Amino acid sequence: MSMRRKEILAEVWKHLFILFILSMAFLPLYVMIVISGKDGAQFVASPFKLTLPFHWENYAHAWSLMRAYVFNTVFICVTSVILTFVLSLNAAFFFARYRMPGHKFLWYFFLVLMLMPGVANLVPLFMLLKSLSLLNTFYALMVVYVTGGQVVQIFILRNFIEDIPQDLFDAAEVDGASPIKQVYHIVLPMSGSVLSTLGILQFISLWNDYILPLIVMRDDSMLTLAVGLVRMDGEYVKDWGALMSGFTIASIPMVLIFLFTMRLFVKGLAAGAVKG
Amino acid sequence: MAKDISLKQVVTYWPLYFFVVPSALLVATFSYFPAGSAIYHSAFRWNGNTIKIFVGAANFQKALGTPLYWILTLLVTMTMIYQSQNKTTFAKVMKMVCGLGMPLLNLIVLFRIRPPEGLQPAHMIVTGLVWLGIWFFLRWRMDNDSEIRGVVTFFCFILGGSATLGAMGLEGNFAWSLTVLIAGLYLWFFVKPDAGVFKLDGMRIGQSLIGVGIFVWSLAQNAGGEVALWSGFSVIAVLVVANLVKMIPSITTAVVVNRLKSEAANYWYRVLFVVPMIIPGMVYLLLWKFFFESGGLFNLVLRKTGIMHLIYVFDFWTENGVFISVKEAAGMSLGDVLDAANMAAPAWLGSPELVLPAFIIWGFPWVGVVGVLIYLAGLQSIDQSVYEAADLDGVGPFGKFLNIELPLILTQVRINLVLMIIGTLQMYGMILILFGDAGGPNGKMMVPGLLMFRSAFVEGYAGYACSIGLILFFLILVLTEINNRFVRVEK
Repeated sequence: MSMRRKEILAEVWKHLFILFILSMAFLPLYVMIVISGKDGAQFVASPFKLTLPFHWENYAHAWSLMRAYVFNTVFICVTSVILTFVLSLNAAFFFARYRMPGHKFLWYFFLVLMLMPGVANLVPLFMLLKSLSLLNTFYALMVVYVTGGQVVQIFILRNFIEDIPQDLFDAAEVDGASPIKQVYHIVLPMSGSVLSTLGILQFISLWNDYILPLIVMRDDSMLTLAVGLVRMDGEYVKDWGALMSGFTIASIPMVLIFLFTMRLFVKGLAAGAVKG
Repeated sequence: MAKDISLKQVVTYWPLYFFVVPSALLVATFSYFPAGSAIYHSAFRWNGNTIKIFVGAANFQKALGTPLYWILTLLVTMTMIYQSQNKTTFAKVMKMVCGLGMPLLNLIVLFRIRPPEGLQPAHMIVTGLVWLGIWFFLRWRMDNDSEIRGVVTFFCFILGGSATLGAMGLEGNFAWSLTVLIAGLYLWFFVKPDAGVFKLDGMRIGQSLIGVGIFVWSLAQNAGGEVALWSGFSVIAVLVVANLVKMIPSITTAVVVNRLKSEAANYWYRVLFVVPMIIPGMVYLLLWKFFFESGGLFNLVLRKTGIMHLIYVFDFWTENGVFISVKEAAGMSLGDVLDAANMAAPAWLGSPELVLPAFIIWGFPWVGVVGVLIYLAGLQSIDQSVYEAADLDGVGPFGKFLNIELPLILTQVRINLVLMIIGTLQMYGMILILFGDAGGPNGKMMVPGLLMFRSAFVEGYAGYACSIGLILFFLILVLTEINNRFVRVEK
């Protein structure tokens, strides 16, 4: 009997520990949402408690400030992720399925990049974009994001494609499918969970990127969300309600992504998509 | 298996190259070209635009200081690595070079450096005793192991000597030269070629690498390079250690969730852990900035839990004056201090003493959601029967962790560790967001990456920025190489 009680007590402690960690993890979310509905007086009176009425107009105000940033960022991120998929799927297919002359050299051409930290590149990269007159355009960001994103994806997708049963490709070849068709009719349908995990991770990192848009973009209307948020945060007299509403709006695309792909994402993580 | 295509068949199969050509072209233009350009321009006084003057290695000298120091350190490092691989002939030659070179170099340097001004014998004695203590402690229980003892002696000697002389009031550079001079003589006269100071094998390579790290570190601080660069590296070192500790909660949480008996609870916690992930990193960063403000949540929690009192009392007794200046504290009673704690609201990110602690506390409780999920994926394969068997053998909870759970997630832990170290070394975006390009209160958080950014985009020294970038690049490359050699990842 006492043994049983001890076990239950141990379980209770585990649950309490996890609940504590969870509550701390949810705290920023709580603070963000609660403050997003406050006007100035309510914020001064009790900053961290839910106060009524909830001022929805904060959201309208924040949206009017941030609309352009949100559209810019969504456009850049989605385009970059899709382009990265196209390039990396094809390249990974090439490395996984064929041993062409020079394929070793090409492989190491990409392998070296995995070891190369990007930090030294920043200044010359900026000068390069300047001389290509790409400054203050979306192309500058996209091209750099695609270049950086594809390297890791090629590695992970190569391993993944090598694990696809050979018979599938052989059968397709007998039926006269070209390599391109093999990529889009065999590899693509099978790699849903891996692609969604890679895509989400890339999307998140692009969504948060700050330094490149900061140095590349000149016009206020071309800025991305990250830079826009920091600008809003940096203003001297702050409207906390509108600021937090802006933060919440910036989180909404993540909510949408997770609603639709969470299952695939957790499965992809579990399958070791990011083990390296 | 992959299809082999010989050189002759290329005539028919050449279109296959178009699968990889776009990627390769992009990479060549936007990764390789800038990298080459960085190496090229690091030799120029370049403002990124019209002015471009060849200056040779001057950029690197500005960052690193006296080149002779670095050449000798490189030699010592190579000696250690070669000796550790039992390539003794080479090592013997190197040791002779170092043993002679160090004293000679330092004789030259000694004459160039100004003599010491006011001496402080008390500081010297205390520092010397502390280092003697460290030496005795390190030698403790390793009497028979003469190789390690030699290394310990050598490093305690160099660092302790340098610190002691520094505490005496000598200029850092002077103190360092003097110790290296004596150390070189020691190396030359007292170390037999076969039972060398650095003779290490197999497992001890790690220890010798730590030794090299300390060696390079103290050298870097004294070689007379860019001060901000090295204070930045010391900030990074603190943050790496802090991030190392911050890895523990994620692992603990994953283990605890995995040990839950109920499958349903396990599943629901897993789902709940994904929810906070919807906050983008940028927003999370700005939220924490808000928490650390003077009227923010962090101060509120410290006051409500009474921790602020503890900090104030500690501050009062140690006379650190982090919160209150020392003069004020001297005139205050403990009661005053406690009252002050009740009203206190320091701006954590605004004071030079508090900004680093704030960065360490940053992100409490340090549970990375992606991390937890990855660890959980690794832990899933443990069968409940394994735990029951361990229970029968009387293995405690910690024993279970070491013997059952840790081996399963070791791969992920190692990868996260490496990524964390490399990421922390390159980290400056966060500081740029929080403080702009000035590097925080008193430039305290001016990390190397930010120094590079500032040199290039604010001060207009693009060539110098390239050379700082290359130094960082080289450091990360060395770390990656060490990782590839010693931290093997089994598939």
